[in-house]
Amino acid sequence: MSAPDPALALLEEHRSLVFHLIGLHAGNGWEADDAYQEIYLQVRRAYPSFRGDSKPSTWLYRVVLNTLLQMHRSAQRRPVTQSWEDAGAGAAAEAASGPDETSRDAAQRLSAALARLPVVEQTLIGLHLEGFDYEEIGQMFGLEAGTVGVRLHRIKKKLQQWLISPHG
Amino acid sequence: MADQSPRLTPKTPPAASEWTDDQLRAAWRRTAPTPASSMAADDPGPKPRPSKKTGTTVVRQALFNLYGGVVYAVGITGFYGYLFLDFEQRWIRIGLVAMMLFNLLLAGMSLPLIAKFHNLRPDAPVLPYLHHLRDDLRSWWALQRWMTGGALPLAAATGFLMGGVIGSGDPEFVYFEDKWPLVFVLVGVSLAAIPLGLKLSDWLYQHSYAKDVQRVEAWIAALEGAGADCAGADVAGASVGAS
Repeated sequence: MSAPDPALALLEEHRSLVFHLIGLHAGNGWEADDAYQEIYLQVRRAYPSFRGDSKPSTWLYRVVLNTLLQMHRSAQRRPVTQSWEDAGAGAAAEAASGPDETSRDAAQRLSAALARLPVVEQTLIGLHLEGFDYEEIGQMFGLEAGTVGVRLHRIKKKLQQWLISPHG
Repeated sequence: MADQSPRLTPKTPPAASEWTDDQLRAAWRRTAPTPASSMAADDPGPKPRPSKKTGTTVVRQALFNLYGGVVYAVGITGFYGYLFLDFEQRWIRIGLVAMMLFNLLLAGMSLPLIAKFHNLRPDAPVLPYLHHLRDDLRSWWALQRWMTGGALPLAAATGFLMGGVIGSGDPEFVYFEDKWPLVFVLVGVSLAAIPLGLKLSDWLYQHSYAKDVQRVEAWIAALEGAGADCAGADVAGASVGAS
């Protein structure tokens, strides 16, 4: 029996967030399948040189993001910004399961506001919300932890403004 | 009796500051796109295909083209060498030598670029990686422009000379010596091919990798903008919304 593939095991461990990031960058069609294949190849190829200087998850998301950013696309998958109505249509529909109308409405607005953010900002706040601290996100992106904190603060301020004034 | 009619006054949406990170996290997870076919939740597992050799990454395509360019340059140089031995006319030989040197120069310029693309480490931090990727793609584009702008005029001049000699059946190559207007046409066509080649190169770039480079540049600008913002920002306030 062959030994388990550590690269695949690491990918499996972070399957949910990796797929979320793939969806964010490459949509959910054949390009997403391609992206996953490519990520697996890159992770497997780079894994032997992983020296443990950072957490395996930090290392993994560097490879995932760098691979997604070098995927060749003939057309942009999605615009940098979207209209308020379009941005959160899918997310808002899924959010419509709250206990009452007010909660559903608020959840819809929050999901729509998140989906309206540029991909780079969705990626930053998504990694933060999934439990990575400023230091770890900084190590992924090559930024100072304080810079990451400022950026996340500004993203949250932007969300706040959009929620108060959706068309602003 | 209380008024049971629905209220038509639009409600003011709650401010984001009323949300905790848990609620924001739930909202983020709701924005996850529907999984692609091979990523469906009920799928027993991912289906990597490590044997796949061709992909859609910009780096792999650049390397494929660069290696292809080197192979072509070496092959065409061999062909020019064969012609060099076959033709004895001085001007033809000069043109062939120029073409051979040009192709060998291109191959020589491609090799360091190939090495740079190979040195791109996918596990590097994103921002330095993107800088490296952008610089390499720009170098590749510059090489392509230089190649197209130089190769077309040289090819035009050589073709003109060879066509003249072969067409006239003049082994002594005196055909052009009394026809200076033809030589001027040769020079004119060669010079006119330079901007044409550059335009062609730009058009090809715009229809191939321009979007990829623009995306990389947009990410660099966004991430470096985050750094620039840091100088005058209130770092202490960065925990707004944190639960």
